[in-house]
Amino acid sequence: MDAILEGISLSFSFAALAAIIVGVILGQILGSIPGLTAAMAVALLVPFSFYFDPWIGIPMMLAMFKGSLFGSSIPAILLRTPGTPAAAATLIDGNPLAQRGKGGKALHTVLYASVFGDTFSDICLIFGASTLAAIAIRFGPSEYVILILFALLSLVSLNRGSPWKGVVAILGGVLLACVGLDPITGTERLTFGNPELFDGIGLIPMLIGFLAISEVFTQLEQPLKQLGERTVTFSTRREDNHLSGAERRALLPTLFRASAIGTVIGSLPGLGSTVAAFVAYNEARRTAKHPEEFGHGSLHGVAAPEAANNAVGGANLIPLLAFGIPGDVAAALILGALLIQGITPGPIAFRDNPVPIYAIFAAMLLANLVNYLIGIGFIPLAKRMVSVPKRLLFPGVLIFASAGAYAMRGSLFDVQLMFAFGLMGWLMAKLRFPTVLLLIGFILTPILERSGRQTLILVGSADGWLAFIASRPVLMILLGILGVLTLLILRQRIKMRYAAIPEEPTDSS
Amino acid sequence: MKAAALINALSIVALAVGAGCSAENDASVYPSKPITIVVPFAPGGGGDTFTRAIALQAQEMMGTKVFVENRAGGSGTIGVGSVARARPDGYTLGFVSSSPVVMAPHLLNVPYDPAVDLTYLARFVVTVNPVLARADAPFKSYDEMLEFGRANPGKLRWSTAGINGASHIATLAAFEQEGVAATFVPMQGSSEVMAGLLGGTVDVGVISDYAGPLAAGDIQVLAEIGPEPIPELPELPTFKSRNYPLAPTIFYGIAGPAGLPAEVITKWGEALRVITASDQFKDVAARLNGQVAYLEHQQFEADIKREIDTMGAALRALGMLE
Amino acid sequence: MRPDRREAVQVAALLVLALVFGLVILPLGIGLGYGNTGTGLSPRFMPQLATAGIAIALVVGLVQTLVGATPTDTAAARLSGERHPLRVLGAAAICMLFASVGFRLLGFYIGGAVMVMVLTLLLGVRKAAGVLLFPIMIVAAIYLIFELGLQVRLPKSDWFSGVPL
Repeated sequence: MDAILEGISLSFSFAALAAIIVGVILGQILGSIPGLTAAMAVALLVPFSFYFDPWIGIPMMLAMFKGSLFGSSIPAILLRTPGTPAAAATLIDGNPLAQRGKGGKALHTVLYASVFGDTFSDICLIFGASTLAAIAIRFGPSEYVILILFALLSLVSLNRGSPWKGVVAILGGVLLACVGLDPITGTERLTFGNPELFDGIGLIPMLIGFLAISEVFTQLEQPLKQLGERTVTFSTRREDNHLSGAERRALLPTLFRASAIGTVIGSLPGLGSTVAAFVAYNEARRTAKHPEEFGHGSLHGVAAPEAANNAVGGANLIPLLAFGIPGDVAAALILGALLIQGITPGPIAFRDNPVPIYAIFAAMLLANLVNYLIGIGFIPLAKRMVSVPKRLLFPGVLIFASAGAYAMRGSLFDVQLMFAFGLMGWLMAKLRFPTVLLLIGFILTPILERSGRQTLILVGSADGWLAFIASRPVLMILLGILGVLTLLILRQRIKMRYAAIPEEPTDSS
Repeated sequence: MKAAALINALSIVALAVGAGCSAENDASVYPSKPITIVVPFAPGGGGDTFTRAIALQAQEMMGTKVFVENRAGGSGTIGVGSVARARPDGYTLGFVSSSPVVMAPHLLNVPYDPAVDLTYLARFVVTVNPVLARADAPFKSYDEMLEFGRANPGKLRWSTAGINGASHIATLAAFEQEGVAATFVPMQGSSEVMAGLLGGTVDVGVISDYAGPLAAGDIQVLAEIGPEPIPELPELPTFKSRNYPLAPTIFYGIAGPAGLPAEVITKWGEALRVITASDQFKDVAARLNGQVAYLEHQQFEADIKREIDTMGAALRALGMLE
Repeated sequence: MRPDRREAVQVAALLVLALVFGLVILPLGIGLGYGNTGTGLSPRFMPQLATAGIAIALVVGLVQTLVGATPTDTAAARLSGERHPLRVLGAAAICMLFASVGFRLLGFYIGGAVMVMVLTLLLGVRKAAGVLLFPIMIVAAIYLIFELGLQVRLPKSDWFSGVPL
């Protein structure tokens, strides 16, 4: 108890509070710049945490991550160019809202959902870290294969156009993900001797190219007169610029479901917030009362991906605090900062020196509150920022994205790749191939291929398939769930065929 | 202790002042302009953090800005390649570690020859790379593990942080010599290996980040793959004491292009000697799980050349090179 | 050309591309590895599977477009109307030029300002404030955020090596 109070008091010191405020502001600004992710910014700041008091550096990092997820949705909604890949699902419904002058409402929904998702997963972390981690650690390669099949099964239904185009797009992503050193043998694949490609195609140039740059290119096709206009205009009616209490309550079931999805995906290392956002979006649509609103500005469609991608953040710390294993880049950076401060996370930290852990928990909850308050102030500012006409705004986006793509690896090759992918994404949109599925194929392939081939090796080491499956209880449960789910989806499909609801065309870019 | 620290601090100040005065507008004295240290990995990792700590201290001693530039990609070979191609004037240096210098040139097509194109200024840190197993494994020592492996061919599953990294090849060669037919499960990064170890996907892991789970009593340390015993566990066998073909040192150091002027070599050698002896740096190293191990230019260079050759021979013996 | 005929040509072109990739480029680009580690599937397996899948999907697509079975795509009023694809190609060429040569020769800051300037001219900005002042403002913001804030060193000029920018 004393430790808890002491931890809380550490986070409520003036310095820690100031660090959280600065972190949130920096995070929101950096997140809103396409190509600049919070992970990159934090990575660049880690070495400086040597010279900070631990209760300045660590709360600031946590606050930056939280702020940046909200920040990255701002350009997604207002410009259709997400600041980070995790916001890609938000634009599907967020941008149509902004097109109708309801940008303010969309941003308030994002903020509300983000803070909700964050708080939900932080509470799961605080009260359930050891339990959740004990389950998550039983997930080996074979379990991951099944999980990714779940994700794929759920995500192929994001495709609303011709099925064959969806297949081509997703497999195109698979091919791009195969470039680099083979994950099992270490041989070069499709690098053609270019060392820049040994580590594979970078996630940042790939995603920013296909998401942000391709969208800028698509909009540059407009007549010059339209380029002199703004991307969106804002209605001045109050109800279009805020979220009412009734709307907030109506969103709650969606928020709980999406936050739970984000927490589960986040506690398993390697899947990441982009996947969580798309799965949650899809679940929200599947269970919605008005699925036809999705893609045309449904508030549920904005809230679900945001709650999920923020929930991943807190949940990523579950394996870190329980075992000292970082779940993603963000958690790895926090681990680095903790080590620099002389704190080794793990169960032993809870027993021997729990004060810093409780201070982290307190800082996370406090950062959520600060994120909300500063976000409210940031929304009008963001609206003013996009009041620049498109013909100035877009060159600005292109040069900022160049700087961001360069900074991660210090490589101009990445900047070139980003523009090449931008052009490819623009062509795909013109030919009506769903870019989003290509990205999902790209994100999921490395972990699917590695886990799949690891599983084959493990089976080779066991006495055949049956003995292998029997030795892994979690795998048996997952296989059972996968079977039932497949049947359910098939039944739903058949029902839909008979009901003969016309396929509703949506924009897939 | 206090007096020593004070003298140390004073000498740094004196050096800084001295360097600051002499460096002013005098291009003939090194350094007369900012120095860049290239880190061939993305920001935030161990090598990056060490280099930034060194850059900050070197900056005071040299009396000039020392920038750190991340040029990641190609398993570290891009950044090292750019250092090898830089003008040998001492203003572009780079962080080097085992993988891009000792391993990658054998297995990948890299744009430099690590034995010819680089000047190795000094080594500053080595890391321990122990053989780990779960605490409840059916074996309690390295020899029992070997026994288990021989008795159950193909059943002992193991992994390391990198595919075709030094610890992977060294352990492979060790198992070959001991007649153990184990199953290697390729994984990426030490956190995946630790998760696999704790979750039961593999039985043995060779990684350097293990402090947390060891303190919690979840894992046991069986042996060290390098030449030197682990300071806290001196009784454990090392790969050198077992006379295995490889007992690689996993090192961090600073290098520059070939043909650096003697002045640059001595100046950086001295700077790194003083930095690695400082309490500030020792503190950083202890927290980042590294052992301060300064090694001066000529010995470091000889060491690396020998490691490159033994690694090449071991890879040929394993049939991974023609 | 009728729209579905044009689409059929596009799909056929993609199919040829996929076949060339799968049959020629893929075997050239992926060696079979060291072959002694007993590691199950070949490194070529995943890309070959993906290419085969793409080829099959494209054949299905080709048949569907020829038969005219694809639902008429009413998607995206956003993408219809008067379009200027040439401007996109121009903008992309400018970006690529700076990413491959311009930033290296002029440095990121001078090169970046010039790039923004050229792009704004291409997009029809004619006022001096937009063409001259705006690029400088943007570049200054990048300098503040990246160089001063995040301590990232963006590319420096090969030509004017004395310039700190």
